[in-house]
Amino acid sequence: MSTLRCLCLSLTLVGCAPERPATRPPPGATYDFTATLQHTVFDVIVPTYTDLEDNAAALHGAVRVLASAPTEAHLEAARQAWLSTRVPWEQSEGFLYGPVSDLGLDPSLDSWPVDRIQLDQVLASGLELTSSSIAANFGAGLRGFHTIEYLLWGSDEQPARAADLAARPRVLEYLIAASGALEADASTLKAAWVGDDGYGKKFAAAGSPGGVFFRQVDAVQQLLTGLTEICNEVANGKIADPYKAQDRSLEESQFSHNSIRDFADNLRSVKIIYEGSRAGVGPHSLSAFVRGQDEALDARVLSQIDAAILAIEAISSDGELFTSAISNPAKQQSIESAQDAIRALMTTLQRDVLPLIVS
Amino acid sequence: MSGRRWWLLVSALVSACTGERGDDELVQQGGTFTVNDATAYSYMSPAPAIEDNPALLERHLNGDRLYGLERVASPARVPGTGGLGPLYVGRSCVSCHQRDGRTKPTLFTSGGSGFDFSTFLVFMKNINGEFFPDYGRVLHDHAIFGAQPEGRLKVEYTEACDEFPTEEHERYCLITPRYWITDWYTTPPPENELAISVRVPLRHVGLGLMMAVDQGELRALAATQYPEFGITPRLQWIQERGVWEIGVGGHKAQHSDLTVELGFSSNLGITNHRFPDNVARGQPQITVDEGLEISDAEMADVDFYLQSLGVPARRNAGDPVVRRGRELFQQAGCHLCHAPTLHTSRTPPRLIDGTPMPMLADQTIHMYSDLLLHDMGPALGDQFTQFQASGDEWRTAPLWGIGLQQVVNGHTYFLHDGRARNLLEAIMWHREEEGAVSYEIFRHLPKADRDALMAFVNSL
Ligand code: HEC
Ligand code: HEC
Repeated sequence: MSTLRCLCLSLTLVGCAPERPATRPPPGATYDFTATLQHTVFDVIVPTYTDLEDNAAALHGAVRVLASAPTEAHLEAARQAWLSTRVPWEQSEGFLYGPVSDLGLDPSLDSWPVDRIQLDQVLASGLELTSSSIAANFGAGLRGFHTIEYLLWGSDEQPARAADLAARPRVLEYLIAASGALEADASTLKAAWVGDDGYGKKFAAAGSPGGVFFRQVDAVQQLLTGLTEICNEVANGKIADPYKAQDRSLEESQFSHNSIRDFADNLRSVKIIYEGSRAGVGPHSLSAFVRGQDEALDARVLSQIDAAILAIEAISSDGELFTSAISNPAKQQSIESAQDAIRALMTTLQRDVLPLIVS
Repeated sequence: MSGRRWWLLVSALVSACTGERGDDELVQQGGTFTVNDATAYSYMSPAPAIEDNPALLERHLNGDRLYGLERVASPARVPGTGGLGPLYVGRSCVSCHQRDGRTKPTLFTSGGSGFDFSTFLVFMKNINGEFFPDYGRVLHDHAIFGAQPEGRLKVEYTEACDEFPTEEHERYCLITPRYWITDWYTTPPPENELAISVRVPLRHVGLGLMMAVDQGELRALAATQYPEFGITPRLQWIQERGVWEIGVGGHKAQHSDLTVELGFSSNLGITNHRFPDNVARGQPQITVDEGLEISDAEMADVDFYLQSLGVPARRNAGDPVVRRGRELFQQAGCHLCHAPTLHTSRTPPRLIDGTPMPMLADQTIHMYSDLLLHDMGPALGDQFTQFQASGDEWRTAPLWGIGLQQVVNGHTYFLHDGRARNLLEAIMWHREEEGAVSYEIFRHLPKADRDALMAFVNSL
């Protein structure tokens, strides 16, 4: 609808001022993105949140097993379950808008840092620990991924071991409650995207009655901004903060030492949104639109995404953790190359792709 | 860059085609601070002048980080993240100003103080205008482990419905809330001495430009009355730093700055140079001496961040329905309070650390507010006075960016306490005193015209 309006404007523009050098509206203003939005929502975003919900449920299950029999094997299984839940979450960080933000779920799922002072006090207290008491009484610094991570791995000075957990039933209780709360949040998030009244349908209907946006192209701009935002966050926040300060306490997944995978999955989030599919470039993707305008540009974006993922993974290709790499002079170059690769992608998205969509 | 030029060009040509100068020159609502963004990121975008300057952008991003950082209890393991509480309302500025907007208020759906943090503030004073010694200036309904929240807000509301007098007899309903506080941590203030004001957050659209508004222009507006509309605007004079100043910020224009120091201190419990004492100091339950928890430089960066945010451009200003709506907005006298055009001062405003902000000076802006106080009547009033503002007086709410609140924050709660659940209800609450004439005109418009007027407001 609004796309049409833009078309009318440009017609009027040509019609009544032919001698002026008319600046043409970007191709995105007249392109029909209906299928792009539809596929991005239902082939990428909703399946990612579905994985998050499923894996969070599996984590909750694994933690219960651990609590009922705190063995090293069960501890390891719970850690693996945490790591697999982390994958869809990090892969969702290229689209941190809509219900995840409107319902305040981002902080409650992924607040950082862990409020260790309060956590110790709560553990030492006699307070009832259930998923709902955690949700009701404690701030986000006391729940979500990193609280669970801290309890499953412990700190570097004091790693968690199954035998210790067996002797600390409050910690096990807390783990059950916190992973239950995580599962509930993940379900709320998915539920808010699906269904007739869900955000997914409204997002895909952008620009038409019942859609969230004024114009369809606004939704497309939002998709793209989500990507540049996560690139910025990884290069200039998640990597830069601990690296510049040479301070491992600023690392995000510092207990599980999962940061490199977190960063790479953040870039995979960019990949799946841009490709409009979780299984290679989809026919109705942002990529397809860009290719239609400028084949070389599309090829550049695709290769810059892959290059950024490889550059991130190269930081620990020799097995060194991000935790120590930040203060290892020999790693300086690979850390900075990763930042540069992400920034190069970000610049392309901002400077070359965005102008195809909005002026 | 080119983007803004393109819009200007389209606007110019459309005017040329139709031979009239209408809304189109108002597309760039924020002058050079306008950003071409109608997405969930629209309130969060830095102004183009900031984005194009690496040094300014870096300062902006540092302010952004401090603004969004979730605070934890001290002593924090991660440097710079501690200081929360012991009493608090939010854990970061973003708790309430999500995406630099208005976090979805939960007070009507959850019946009052919620879990985790609150999305509103409850101002609290005694009838002589003094703060209660055992309580903060807002109700701290959350506390870190081991401390007790000061109390909890409870909300009940009644709903009353009516019909428009026009042909279609369209129905609308308004909710009237009633507030009280329970679970006081200590002796409650005597009920007949307690005054409270419940407020939802304000959107951070164009805050720098708002701080820069030419005060001479505000004085002139305050001196202009519209007797046929019963509109008698008043200037807010406030004293926060020992001198009398014109207040512009807050629902009763009770602030002359962007409340960075106060926000950290009063809402998060983060002590700072201007408010070195913890908000809960003096309360029997607080014993620790914390030292300052955020530096002056950091607060100035947050101030810079807020002042350098952009203003979203209007979306569909050229749409015929929207143009018609704009005419009706004027016919109904909305513009007499929601003043479409203001200017910023020639002299650049300064941040709290004295840094001048030349890019904010000398601009024509369209915030749709006179930043003045208006008596909106007892139904909307709360008997809570602030400086010159009586309980029934409120600052005209700026409307720029309002149409994007749904996109940014996922809801359409409006007015100072969020009691309007949508735009129509917000307008229908203008029914008393200075708003009454406008309200009557609006109420008697045919539905199509009311819708057009609202389409105009949503285009801002
Ligand atoms: C618990 C919720 C909450 C938190 C946390 C919070 N605010 Fe607010 N903010 C509000 C409310 C409510 C108002 C409106 C109150 C009034 O009338 O002044 C407001 C108003 C403002 C305004 C006035 C804007 C205008 O247009 O007049 C600014 C600026 C502001 N807040 C900045 C901040 C900063 C900076 C922080 C973090 C240090 C912060 N806020 C934290 C709820 C909150
Ligand atoms: C007498 C001055 C006055 C007039 C006339 C007036 N308003 Fe307002 N308006 C205000 C004030 C003051 C507020 C803030 C009230 C509050 O927060 O409780 C407000 C609030 C609003 C809001 C809510 C904004 C928000 O973000 O919460 C909307 C929307 C609005 N007005 C639209 C209109 C429209 C449309 C008209 C014309 C039909 C109109 N107003 C006429 C003074 C006025």
